[in-house]
Amino acid sequence: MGKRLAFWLVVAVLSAAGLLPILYMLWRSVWIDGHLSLSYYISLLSSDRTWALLAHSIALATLTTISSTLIGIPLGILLAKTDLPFRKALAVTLTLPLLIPPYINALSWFYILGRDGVIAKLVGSAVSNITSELYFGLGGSTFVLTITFMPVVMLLTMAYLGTINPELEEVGRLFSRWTTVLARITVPMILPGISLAAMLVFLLAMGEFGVPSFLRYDVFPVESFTQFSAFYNFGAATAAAVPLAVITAILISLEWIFARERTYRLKTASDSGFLRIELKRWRHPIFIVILIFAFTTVIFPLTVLVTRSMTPNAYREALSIAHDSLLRSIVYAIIGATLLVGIGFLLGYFIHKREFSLWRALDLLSIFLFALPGTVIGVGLIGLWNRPSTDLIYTTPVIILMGYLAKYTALTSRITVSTLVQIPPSMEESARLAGVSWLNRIMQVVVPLSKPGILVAWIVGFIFCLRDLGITIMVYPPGHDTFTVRTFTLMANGSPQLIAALSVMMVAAVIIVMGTGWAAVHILRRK
Amino acid sequence: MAFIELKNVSKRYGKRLAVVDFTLHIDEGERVVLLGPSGCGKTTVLRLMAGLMAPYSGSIYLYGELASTDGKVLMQPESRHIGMVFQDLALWPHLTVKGNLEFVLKAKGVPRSERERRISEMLSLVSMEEFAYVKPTRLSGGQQQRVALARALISHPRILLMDEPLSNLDFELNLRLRRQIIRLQNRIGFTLIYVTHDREEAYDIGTRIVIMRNGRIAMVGSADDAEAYFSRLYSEIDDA
Amino acid sequence: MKKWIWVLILVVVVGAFLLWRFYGGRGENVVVVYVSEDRVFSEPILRDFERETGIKVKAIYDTEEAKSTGVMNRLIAEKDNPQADVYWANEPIRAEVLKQKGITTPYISPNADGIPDVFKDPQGYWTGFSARARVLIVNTRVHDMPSSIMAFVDPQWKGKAVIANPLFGTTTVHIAALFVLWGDDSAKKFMEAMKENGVKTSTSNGESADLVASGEFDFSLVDNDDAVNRMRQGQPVKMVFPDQGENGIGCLLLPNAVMLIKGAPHPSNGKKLIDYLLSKEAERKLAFADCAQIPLHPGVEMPPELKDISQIKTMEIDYPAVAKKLVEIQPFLKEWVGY
Repeated sequence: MGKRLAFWLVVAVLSAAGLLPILYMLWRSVWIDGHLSLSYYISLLSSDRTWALLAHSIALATLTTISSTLIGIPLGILLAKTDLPFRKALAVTLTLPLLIPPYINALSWFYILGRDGVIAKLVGSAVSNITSELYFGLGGSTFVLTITFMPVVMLLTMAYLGTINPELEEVGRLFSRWTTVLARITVPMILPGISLAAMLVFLLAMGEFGVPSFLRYDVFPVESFTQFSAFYNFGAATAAAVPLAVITAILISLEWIFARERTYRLKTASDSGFLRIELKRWRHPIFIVILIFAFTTVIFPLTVLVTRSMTPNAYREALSIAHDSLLRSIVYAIIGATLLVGIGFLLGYFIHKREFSLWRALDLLSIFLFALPGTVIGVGLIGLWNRPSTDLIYTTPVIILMGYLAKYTALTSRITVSTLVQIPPSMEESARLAGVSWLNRIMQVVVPLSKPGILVAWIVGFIFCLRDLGITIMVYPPGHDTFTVRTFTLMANGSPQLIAALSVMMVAAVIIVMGTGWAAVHILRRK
Repeated sequence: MAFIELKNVSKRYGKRLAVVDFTLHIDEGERVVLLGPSGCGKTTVLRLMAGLMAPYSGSIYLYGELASTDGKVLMQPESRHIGMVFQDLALWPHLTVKGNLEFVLKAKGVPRSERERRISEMLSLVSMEEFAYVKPTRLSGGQQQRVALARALISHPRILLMDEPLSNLDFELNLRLRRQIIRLQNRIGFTLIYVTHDREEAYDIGTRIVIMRNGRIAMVGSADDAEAYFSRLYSEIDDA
Repeated sequence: MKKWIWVLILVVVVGAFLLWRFYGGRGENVVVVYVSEDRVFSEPILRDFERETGIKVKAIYDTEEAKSTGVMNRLIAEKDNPQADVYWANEPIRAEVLKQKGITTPYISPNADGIPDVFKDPQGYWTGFSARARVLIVNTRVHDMPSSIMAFVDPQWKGKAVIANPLFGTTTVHIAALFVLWGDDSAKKFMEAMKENGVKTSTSNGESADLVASGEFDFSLVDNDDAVNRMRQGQPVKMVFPDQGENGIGCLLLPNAVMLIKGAPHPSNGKKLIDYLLSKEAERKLAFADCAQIPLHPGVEMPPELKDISQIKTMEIDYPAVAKKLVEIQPFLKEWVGY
């Protein structure tokens, strides 16, 4: 397989799974009853409610981004660069909410703050009425989304800190204190990473539908969904998704212009060393503060969830109802993650090498698809692929895999890029001079050298496939639903114990995969 | 027919000119040193010769054939019969010393028995026989250097490009490896293009010195010519 | 490297074969059903059908409560190449939408006999069964029981009544039905009067029922299962079928509706499933389940909290008109709620 062939493979996959469905949707939004018309857009933009909802969405996304960065950056620095005890365990714990479907987070907090929740039992209904009141609305939505998406900022901060050339900090340390070095040298150097993280959080928060709808805070995606579910008008629904797409495109371009071009000399594989800050007398107080934070935001709600589920029959019932879908979820996620790593690696490679002029367009497309609400992609996939001639795709899980590829390739390609940055280009060039073919260079030089990064990409891909709801619920073949879909559909009038048990099983599956993956990365690194 | 010929070669990165109007003939068996301060375009010239990048304008001929011209690489790097030692050596860390050499031979389609013979021959040539099954990261700087040299030579290239290969070594080791490079070149007879910023190293290795400044050739000549060039340069600086 | 290519080709071929083997093949003895009734209630019925007939049921579930965009959109998006045989809707409004969009096809099941005509499409595009009733839930400490939805505007209960957000779910349908029944002006006056009488809104029917059970409000208008479940749990609430008097408007019943999809891949199995869902046995099961739905065939055995359909005075409603009204009154409702 030549390089060109590989490139066109990436183009073909992203087109079939993402670009063409989206174009199909756009077409449907302007081609009304046999002629071109912008009427959906006009009626959308002339409605006061559109602007009010857009304001809601932007408010929610902005607040979530601000609070996520304010918490995520310090946590990232503390967990990556200091001598705090149990750094890795804390980082993993704090990452958990990101890995769980957000509606489960919202649910467990409802068990705490709601009228019947833990607060009501501990303190009384007077307080719980207030907390419930606060929880439902902008405050609660920001709260849940911050806990869910803060790890994005924290993890990216940690990752980018790892790429800083230690000499740059050492020079600063010669004449100033650590706090000054952090503020003046370290943080400015990882600004591209931070702005990427902030952008991702903003987009994720703005595209999120489940949590604000659970908490009755009307946001813009709801408009699109109302168009779908109340009026069954695909054209209008697409038109309603367009403002989100426009905001997404603007943000991505801004990030491109301002952050991407500023590159610093990064640490490469041959550089060694990493400066660690000694916290001295602050070590234990800070540790305790973070521990309390992790406990209240992660452990406590999960414990509540587990407690709710602890009835003799809940798990037996959950297993008997959902074991087949759990198995399917895992199989789909394994295949999905593998495909995502394959396509994402190739895309990441082409982005990194800036090869073929289309690479920029593909990079933008993948991020754009990541930010688009899953249901939009889902309906596009149905429209494009549900034809008798393509039954083998539409009536089988292939359609789900295409959805995964459309939505999550950006994740694996970005991880690949950040891995490849740390491999000196001479590694591949020397093989090229020796006459090694491109595929062999990739398979025998680049891939072995990026093994830990590939494994991380696989785990991330696996988890995002496992927790996906938006696309899967739109396209799964009859009788072949996944675990998240089944849990979600059982949530309506299912017993709370059963729902809690299903959610716990989901969390457990995520933790098991994380744990195994973490151990695997560890073993690889040691080798 | 020139063995290597660069005609009016220029290369730019975005707006910045890295190499400007570079013209040079190199004959077979020569040891040419590109000497100059960092950032003067020496490495770019090497990469252009190797075909790892295309010139913005101008042409490069190898063995009398047009190899690269005006933004196009006509002769692919792998078919240029060129070996290269990179500044960071680029030893594949996941392969053993032997694995590094063998990978190159496999790519060339050398049969197994022949591979074994050539690897042991080459390792003994650089006195690294006993390290065949060691991973490069476990070796010292000088040892890594010799493995990189062996890897570059194992495919019997007609031209060897070396990009500041000894810059990170201490003086004594540097001296010893220089001698080894010259000895190998005498014995095998490849054409050597050697990039360095160290004058002494340049005079020692080069049969011809090319001094580069700001992407241009400032002088071509013998070690004596180069020395004369520098004393003239210093007096100009002193006067100013 | 040739090896790689061959392995890849082999994987693709084997994968395609497995897919074809397990997912392809429309000729199998299966029926594909899309379901909007809550999965907890619908799945057991479908499992029973599977067991009794040997026809494998492949289902896609949806939930209205979670307002997911699921199956209705799929049905519409799949119009040109239908995958489903049967759609089980949780109310007839959706059935009307699908009929108008040409997604469904008529089928009059022999088991539809006995179901009152008001719950059926005259041409057989859909047939209703097991209905939710919109009832008043009243706290037992209230002595003078309200018997009509007019209680919401009665000063006697000023500030003592609660209703679920009328933008969502069955409450929306109920208000749309009132608009059709009374005409826009009277219905709007009624809504304004509710506001003046201090009626509070809650997030859902379930929450309304809880608020009444805990005594924070005297009564509310909810689905009958919300009331029945709380009665079964022994909470201090009673259920009242409203407006049963001689001149009363009657109680609003929202039946499930089942319909055959036009171009269904397995039409005969689809008809069998429809017959099954419209059977007295299926209705009996839905009555005893937690959804406590009222059978539309007369004389079906049912739990004591429910009433036989022949004993209930039902609101005469024109479902297509309600479907249209539902869309029309959205702006008014949004304003009413205060968006």
